[in-house]
Amino acid sequence: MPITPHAGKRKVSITGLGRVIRAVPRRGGGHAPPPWLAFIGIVTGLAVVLPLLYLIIRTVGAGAEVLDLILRARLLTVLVNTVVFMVVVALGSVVIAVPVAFLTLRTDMPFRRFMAVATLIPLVVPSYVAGYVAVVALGPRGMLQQALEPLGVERLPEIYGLPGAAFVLTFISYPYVLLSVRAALIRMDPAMEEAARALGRNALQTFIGVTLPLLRPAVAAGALLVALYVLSEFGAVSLLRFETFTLAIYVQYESAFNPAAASSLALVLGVMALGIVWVESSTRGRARYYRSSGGVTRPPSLVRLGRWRWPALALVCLPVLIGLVAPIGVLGYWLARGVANGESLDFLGAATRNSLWMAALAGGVTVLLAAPVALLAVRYPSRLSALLERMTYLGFALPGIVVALALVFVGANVAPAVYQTQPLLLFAYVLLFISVGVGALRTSLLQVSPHLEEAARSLGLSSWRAMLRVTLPLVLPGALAGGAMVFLLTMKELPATLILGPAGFDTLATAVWSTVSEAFFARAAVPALLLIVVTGPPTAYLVLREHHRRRADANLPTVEAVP
Amino acid sequence: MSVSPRVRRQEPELRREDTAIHLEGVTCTYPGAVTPALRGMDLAIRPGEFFSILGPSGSGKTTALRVIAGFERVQAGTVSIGGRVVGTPRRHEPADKRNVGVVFQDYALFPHIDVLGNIAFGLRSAPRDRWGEHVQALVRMAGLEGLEARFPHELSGGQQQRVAVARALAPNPVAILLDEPFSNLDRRLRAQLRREVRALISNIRATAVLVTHDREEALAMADRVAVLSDGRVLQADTPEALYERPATPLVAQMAGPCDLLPGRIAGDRVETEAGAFPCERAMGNPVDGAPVLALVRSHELTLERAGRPGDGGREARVVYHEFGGDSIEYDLRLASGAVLRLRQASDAHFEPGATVRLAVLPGRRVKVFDTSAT
Repeated sequence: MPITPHAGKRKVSITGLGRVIRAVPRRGGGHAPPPWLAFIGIVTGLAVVLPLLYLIIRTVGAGAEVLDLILRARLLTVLVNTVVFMVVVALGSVVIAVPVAFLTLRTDMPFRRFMAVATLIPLVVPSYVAGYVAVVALGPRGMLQQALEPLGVERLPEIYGLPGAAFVLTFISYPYVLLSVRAALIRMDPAMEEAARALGRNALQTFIGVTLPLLRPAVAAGALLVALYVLSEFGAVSLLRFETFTLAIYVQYESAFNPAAASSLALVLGVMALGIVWVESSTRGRARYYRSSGGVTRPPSLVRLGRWRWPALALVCLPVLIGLVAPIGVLGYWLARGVANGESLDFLGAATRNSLWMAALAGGVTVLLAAPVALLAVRYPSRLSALLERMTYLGFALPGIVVALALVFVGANVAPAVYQTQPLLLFAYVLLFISVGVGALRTSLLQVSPHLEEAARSLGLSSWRAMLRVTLPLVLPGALAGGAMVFLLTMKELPATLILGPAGFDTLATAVWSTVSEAFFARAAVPALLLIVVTGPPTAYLVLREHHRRRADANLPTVEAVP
Repeated sequence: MSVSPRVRRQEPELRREDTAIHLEGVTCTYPGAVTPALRGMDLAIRPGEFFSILGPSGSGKTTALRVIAGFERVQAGTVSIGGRVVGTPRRHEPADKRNVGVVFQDYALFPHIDVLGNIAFGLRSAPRDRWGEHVQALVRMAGLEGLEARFPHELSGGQQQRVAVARALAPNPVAILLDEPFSNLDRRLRAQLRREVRALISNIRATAVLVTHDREEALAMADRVAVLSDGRVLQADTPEALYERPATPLVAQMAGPCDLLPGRIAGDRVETEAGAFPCERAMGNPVDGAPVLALVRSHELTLERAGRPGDGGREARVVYHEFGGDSIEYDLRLASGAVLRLRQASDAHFEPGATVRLAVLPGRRVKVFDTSAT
């Protein structure tokens, strides 16, 4: 296929949030969309935004009380905790990710190709599973302490609070920085580094003077993504008892029965999340200069590590051991212990069924609702369609607990019939993950040249049949991948499921969390392992697939080879 | 030779009923755009004709093709295909009802369908055994035997293009529209494919419209060429007529390499910086002393070493030369500093720095365009 510039080299952001919709329509674009399509798109956009607006109106409407409530809710402590937490985890992730990226891509380290993939895998571990593992392994009278007891170790450093939470989160979120830095390193034109060498800089000077500055935008983008992830994180902080916004909101809502305080805190958290997204999208404009100017670049020459080859491998193995291998080992140990003690696993059947059912439903419904929005954004670019696309990203930007709380308000005050029912929970999932569906469909649609539909039209097919016979088959793989991603995210989702799930409705995620909260550690091992086994491999596959597509973005063909 | 102060348009004697494609006063503005891409465009294409639309980028040539195909609506004027009105501001027949084949610049082959399926895509209404033979004939004519089961990405650029042409021809369209179909191919392949595509289309006696910005392509392939500028047709004529009798300076430039020198009329001669030459009026009827543009083409001029008694030519200095086998290209600097580029047979040879004199070949006349008319 002839290679044509890919959709005007649009700006691609890792979060998908900082996209700038270019005002320049393609030739033949800019037409008004069919009314039914615009209607469905607008309804979807409003459905995403209205619950959040409702949360704002109700909270601010409470007036002066709000301030009082917020202050009483220990706002300042929570704020400081959250910000420190965010910064520590983001920095920790950068410190791990940058050397790992460089060692696996640019040196002759042994097994570097294998390690390049392995170092990304820890991101499949759900935070509450990681938190659970930390509690049982590193907590007081935990596995590590017991192992060290013969050596006279009576106490380990405190695992609860900031240190534990930051430790746990860093080792499951550094892969987000790694993905972004790797992509930048791969796309970087080796000619720039070669030029530095030719101008008399040695390898280290080149790395510090040229490579690192070129990587800065990618590092910043990855770090911001981690910050956003940390901000919305609930599972690990709740199990490790570190009071960030999400935990404070949950406590106010569930234990203190103070929904007004919870919603005030949620509002502040929402504003912070949007702030991060805003920073991400406004730095995005400059974040592109690492990209080489199209075409396939030669692979860069590798740095020879000499006798440091094996120590380098050991260093790169460390995050994988801590973030993935050790947790699975610990879970295996607790599984064996549970089986030996004849732990009851009766609750598992229903939880597994619930998880699979809700996730499948969410995957399907989300992609169906995302399709009109993506279609409008790609085929009928306008202010309205850009706005609609942005509206769907809101759900992704906002922490799950904020979205859940908004729906609680809507459910309790506007639609009591759906309050604490599966449909409302499903709606929460759609709201949270519709951006994933829109993003996947958007990417596939962009690769289907409008000329293909026009060719079908000129060969006598009506617009419906052209869509059915040409566009749909080409978009299907992307749509399926998007649906699968939503399925996996839903399987792992915790806070919204906890808050909105009907009474007695357990999923694998809530099963892990509640059994650990009640210190039934052995009982949590099975659902935790099940979650990792079911969601881990496909998540890793989809993330790597997306990663490789982005890498190839510079010379992506207009249409994907399908057969 | 007709001399008219106005830009020449399509010959009026061609009636709509006798045309394959007919555009009358068509205006088309893209949604959101301020300036129209077509402004009152007239075009009449005869059945069976190989017609080309030539113009610089932004002149509206692709828009014209999209209007004919039915991808764009018109804001004014009438579009007719086969004598039937298919597009007016009030009535727009969609592309799937027009029976017009389109070959896109990127070919737009369906990547999920094999070669045979692509070619037969537009034949869905006919029974399968009926179109089998028809499609096989097309496959043979397009030289695609043995490739029927391949998928588009398994074909070379030239093969993909032939599939695109065969696909567009399969439903026996009233006309086939080609949008810069050769621009994605390398130079050598281009010349060969030009002939193949031309032969394929002529065999079927289909009406074809080729949109291109490549002069060589348009002049080589087409029976007639329309030169477009700013959404209007400047001149529609045979390639020879465009070259020999350009209606405007722009048409002259589009029809072949040339220089345009400002000058003044003096009787049947034109006074320019390069000398005074016998002239004929190509546009307008400038009176003595009126400012004109003189069209200077290499094959009408000759260079002589300066110093000999000349034919009113003034002196120029050779500043650069480029040897090209059977010819040499010279850059000549005139007194004002303007540079004139001329190609001459390589038997005469002038070194850079040499002073030369320009003369018009006996019997030739330089064409002049009245600049006050535009």
